[in-house]
Amino acid sequence: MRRSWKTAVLGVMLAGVALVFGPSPGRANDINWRQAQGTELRLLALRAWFTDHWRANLAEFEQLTGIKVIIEDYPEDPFRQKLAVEMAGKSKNVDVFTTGTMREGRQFANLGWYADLSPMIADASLTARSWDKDDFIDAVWKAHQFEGRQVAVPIQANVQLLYYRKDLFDAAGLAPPRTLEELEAAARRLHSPPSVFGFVSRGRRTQAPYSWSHWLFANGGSWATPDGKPAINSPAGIAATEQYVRLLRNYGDPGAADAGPAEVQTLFLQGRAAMILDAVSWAGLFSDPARSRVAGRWAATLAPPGPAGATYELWAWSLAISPFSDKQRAAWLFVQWATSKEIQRTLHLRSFPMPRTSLWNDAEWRAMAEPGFYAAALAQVQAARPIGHPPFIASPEITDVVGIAINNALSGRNIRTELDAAARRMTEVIERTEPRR
Amino acid sequence: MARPLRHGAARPWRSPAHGLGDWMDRHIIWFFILPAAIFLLAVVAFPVTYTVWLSFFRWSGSATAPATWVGLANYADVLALDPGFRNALWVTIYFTGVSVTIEVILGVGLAQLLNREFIGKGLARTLLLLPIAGTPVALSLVWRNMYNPSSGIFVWFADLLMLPPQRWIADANMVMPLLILFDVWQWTPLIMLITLAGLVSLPNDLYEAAQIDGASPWQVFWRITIPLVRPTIVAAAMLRLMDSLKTFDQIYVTTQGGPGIASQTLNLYIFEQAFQYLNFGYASALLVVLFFVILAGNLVLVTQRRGQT
Amino acid sequence: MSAASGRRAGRIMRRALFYLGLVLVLGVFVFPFFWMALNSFKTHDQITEYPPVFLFTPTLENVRNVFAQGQFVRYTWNSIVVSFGAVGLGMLLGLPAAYAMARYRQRGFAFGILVCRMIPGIAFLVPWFIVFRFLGLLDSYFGLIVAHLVITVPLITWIMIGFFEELPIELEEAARIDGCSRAGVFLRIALPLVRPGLVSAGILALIFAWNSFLFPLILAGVETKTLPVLVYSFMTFDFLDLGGIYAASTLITLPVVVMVLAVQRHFIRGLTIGGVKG
Repeated sequence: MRRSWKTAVLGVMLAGVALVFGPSPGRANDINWRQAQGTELRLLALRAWFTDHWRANLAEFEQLTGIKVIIEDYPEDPFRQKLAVEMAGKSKNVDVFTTGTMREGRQFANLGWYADLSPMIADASLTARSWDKDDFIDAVWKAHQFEGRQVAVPIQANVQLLYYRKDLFDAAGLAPPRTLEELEAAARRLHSPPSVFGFVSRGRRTQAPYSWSHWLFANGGSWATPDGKPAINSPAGIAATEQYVRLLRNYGDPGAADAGPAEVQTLFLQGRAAMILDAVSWAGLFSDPARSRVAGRWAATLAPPGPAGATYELWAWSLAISPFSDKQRAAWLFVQWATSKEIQRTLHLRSFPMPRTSLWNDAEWRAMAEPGFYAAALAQVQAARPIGHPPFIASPEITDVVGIAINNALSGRNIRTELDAAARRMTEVIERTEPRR
Repeated sequence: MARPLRHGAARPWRSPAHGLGDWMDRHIIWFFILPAAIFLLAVVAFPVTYTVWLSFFRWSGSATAPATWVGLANYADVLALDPGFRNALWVTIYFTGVSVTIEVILGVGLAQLLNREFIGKGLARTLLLLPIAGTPVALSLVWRNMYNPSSGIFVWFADLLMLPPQRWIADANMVMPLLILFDVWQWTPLIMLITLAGLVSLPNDLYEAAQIDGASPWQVFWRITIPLVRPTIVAAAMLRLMDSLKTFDQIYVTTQGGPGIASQTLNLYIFEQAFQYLNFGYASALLVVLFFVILAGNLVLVTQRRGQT
Repeated sequence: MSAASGRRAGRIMRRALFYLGLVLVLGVFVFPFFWMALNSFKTHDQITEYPPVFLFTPTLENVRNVFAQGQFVRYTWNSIVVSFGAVGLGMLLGLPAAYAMARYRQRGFAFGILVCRMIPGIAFLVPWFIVFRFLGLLDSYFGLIVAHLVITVPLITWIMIGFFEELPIELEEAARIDGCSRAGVFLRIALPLVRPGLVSAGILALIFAWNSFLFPLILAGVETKTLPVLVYSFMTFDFLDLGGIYAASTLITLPVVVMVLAVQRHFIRGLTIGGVKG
C-alpha cells in the first residue's frame, strides 16, 4: 500500500516535471505534420499584410511539414482576374487561394470553386486539436459556410470603426459622435478644406456600397426583401443614400467619387480627415509614428447607430482550397498553420483583428490596446454580421449596380431615380443568375 | 534597259542541275509568306473560334454545371443596347474619336514645325520619343497621381492660375478630357515622328516651284504638302486608331472606368464582365462586337488613304 | 536701312518664339518623367504633401526597397528574354512575309495580318490559358514569347511592307539577271537596304512587347514574370506605397527608355528613309 502510494506520488511528480520541461503540448504533438512532406504547394493570394506575414514565416512551415510553398500575390483587381482565369480553366496550378466570401462566397460556391473543407476538418488525423476550430468567432466562422459546407477559414475579422481626431474634437469641444446625426454635425463643425475634411469615405463605384451599407442598415433598410426582391430603393434606402451622399458632397474630400480604401487611409494618415468609418485593421498603422502624422492624436469609437439602431458589417478575408488541386491534404495543413492560434496571435498583437475569441480575451493584448479602441472593436466584432454585401450569387455585379447609383448621386443626380434604376437592374441580374425558387 | 519583272515570267538562266532550287525559287513567295501566316493562324485561330463559340453560351466557369446554350441571346442583349454596352460604346467612340483626331492634327502640325534646321534638333527628336517608350502602367500611375484632387500637381497649377477648385479625376464630367489629355500626351509623338519621316522624304523642287509662283506658306502646306504626305498620315492614323480602341492599361490603372462608368470603354466593360462578374459568354459576344467596331474604323480609314493625288 | 533692320528684328523675334515654343512643347512631353523620377526620391509623406514639394532632401530608401524585393533583376532578365525573343522571332517570320507581300502586291494577306492586330488582347486570355496549360507552356519563356509574337509580327510586317515597297526594283532585277535566286536577292540586296527601317520596326516592336502587361499577368508565373508586373508589388488593397510605386515605375521605364535612346538616331533615320506608307 505504502509503496504504491509513494510510486503514485513519484509518478505524479515525474509527470509534472515532464509537463513543465518536456515538449510543449502545442501543435507539434497533435497530428503527423509531416504526412505530406515533399509536396510543393502554390498559394495565389491577395497582396496584403497577412500574405507578407506568411511569406516571412514560411521557413517555419517548411521545417514543420517538409512542404514547400510558393506564394504569388497581387493587388485586388489583377488577383481576381488571375484567379478567375485559373479557376475557369480548371487549373491544377493553384492549391490554396485567398477569398472574400462576403463578396464572392455565394458566387464561387455556386460555381464549385471551393473545396469542401468539412471532411478534412472532421478528420482527426489531419486536423490538429490545437488548431481549435471552436475558438473561431461564431458569426465569422458561419459566414464561410454555404449549403452546410465549410468552404474557407477566416484570416481576420474586420469591422468598421469610427476613427476620429481626438485633438480636433477636443479643440472644438465636441464629444465623439454617438449617432449618425451627431456624426454629420461633427463633420460640419470640423470641415475646413483644404487642410481638413469633415468626413472621408469611399465613393468609388466598386467600393462605395460596402461603406454605404452601414447607413442602409442603420436606417432600417436592407439589400433585399425576404423573398429576394431588391429593397435598396425603399424609403430607408433612399434616406440612407441621401445621408451618405450629403456627407460626402458637403463634408468630404474632392476626390470622394474616386476614393477607395487606399485614398481614405492616406487622407487620415496625412491628418486631412477629421473622421473616417473604416477598417479596424488600420489602427496599428495609424499609431505608427514612422508612417502616420496622426499617431497619438486619434481615437476610435463604435460605428454610430442610426434610427433603426446599431449595425456592424463584417468583412473577413479567408483561405480556401481549390477543388481542382491534387494536394488538398497538404493544402489543408498549410491552411491550419496559416490560421493557427500562434500566427494569428502574433498578428493580433500587431493590431490586426483576428477571428478567434481567445485572442480578443488575451491578457497581453488587452494591456496593449487603448481602452476606448479595445472596447469598441470587441463590441463590434462580437456583434458583426456579413451584411455589407448583397446576399446573392451575382453579388459582385449587384454591388457595382448599386455603386453606380451611389456614384451618380455623388455627381448630383437625383437619388430616387438612380436607386430605382439600380433596383430594376438588380432585378434583371437576379433573374438571370439566381436559381428559380 | 531592264525588262519589267513580271510575276513568274522572267527566269534567269540556270543550269538544269538546279531544278529543285529553281522550283523553290519560283514559289519563294509562299516560303516567305507562309511561316508568318501559318503561325498567326495557329496562334489566333483557337482564341477566335473559342470566343465566337463561347458567345453563344452563358458560362461562368463553373466546375460542375455545363455552359448553357443561349443562341443569339447575348447578341440580342448587346444590340438591344444594354445600358452598360450603350455607355461603353459612347465612351469608346468619344475617347478614340477625339484623341486620335487631336493626335493627328497636333502630330502633323508639330512635324511641319520641326521640319527645319535648328539647334538641338537631335535632342528634341530624342526627347519626343520618351512618352512612346514609357511603360503605360507606370505612366498611368504617375498621371493618376498628378490628377489627384487633393494633392495632385494639376490642383497646384489650377491654384496658381487662380482657377476654382475642381474634382479632377473624381469628376465624371472632367474625367474623359483628362484621359484624352493623357492619351494625346503619350501618342502625339508617334504620329509626329511618322509624319516627319514622310515630310523629310518629299522632294524640295516642289516647294521651290510653289514659292516662285508666289504661294503663301499656308497654301504650300495645305495644297502641296498634305496631299503628298497623306498616305503616311493615314497609315499612322490607322495604327493609332487600332490601338486606341484597344486601350486598356492606361484607363484601367488611372480611373478603372470611373467615376461610376464615366470612363468605361468597351474594352474595360468587357474586362469587367469577364473577370469580375464571370459572365464569360456575354463578354465573348461583346468581344466580337468590339472587333467589328475596330475593323469598321480601320476600313473607313483605308478608303481615305488614296485621296486625290 | 530701317526696313532691313526691322525685317531682321522680326526674324529674330520669330526665331525666339520658335525656340520658346519648342522648349514649352518639349517640357510638356518630358515633365511627367521628371516628376516620376523626382518622386522616387521622396518619402511617402512628401509625395502626398500639398502643395507639391520640389525642394527636399532626397532619400534612396524607395530605390533600395525595389531592389530589396529581390525580384527586380530577375524580372528585368525575364523582360529582356521575352521581348528580344519576340522581336527576333518576329523579324524572322515578318521580314520575309513583308518582302513577299510588297513585291507581289499581296494586299489581301497584308490586311489579314493587320486584322490579327485588331483582336482585343482580352480575347486571348482564357483560350490561351487553357491551351498553354494543356501544353505545359504556362510560366515558360517559350510560351510568353509565342504570346508576344502576336504583338510583334503584325507590327513588323506592316511597317516593313512600306519600306520594301520603296526599294527600287532595278537593283533586284539586275541581280536576278546576274543569276541570283530570289531568296538571294532578298537576303543580299533588299534586307541590307532597309536596315534603317528594320531598326525602326524592331524598336517599335520592342517597345510594345516590353510594355505589355496583360499577357504576362495571366500567362507568366513566379519564374517568368516581367517587369511591368513589378509595380503591383507596391500596391495592396488598402495601402499604396507611393514611394515604392514611383521608384518601381522609374526603374521599369528606365531600361526601355535607355534602349530606345541608344538607337534613336537609327530609329528616326529609318523612318526618314523609308517612310511608313502602309
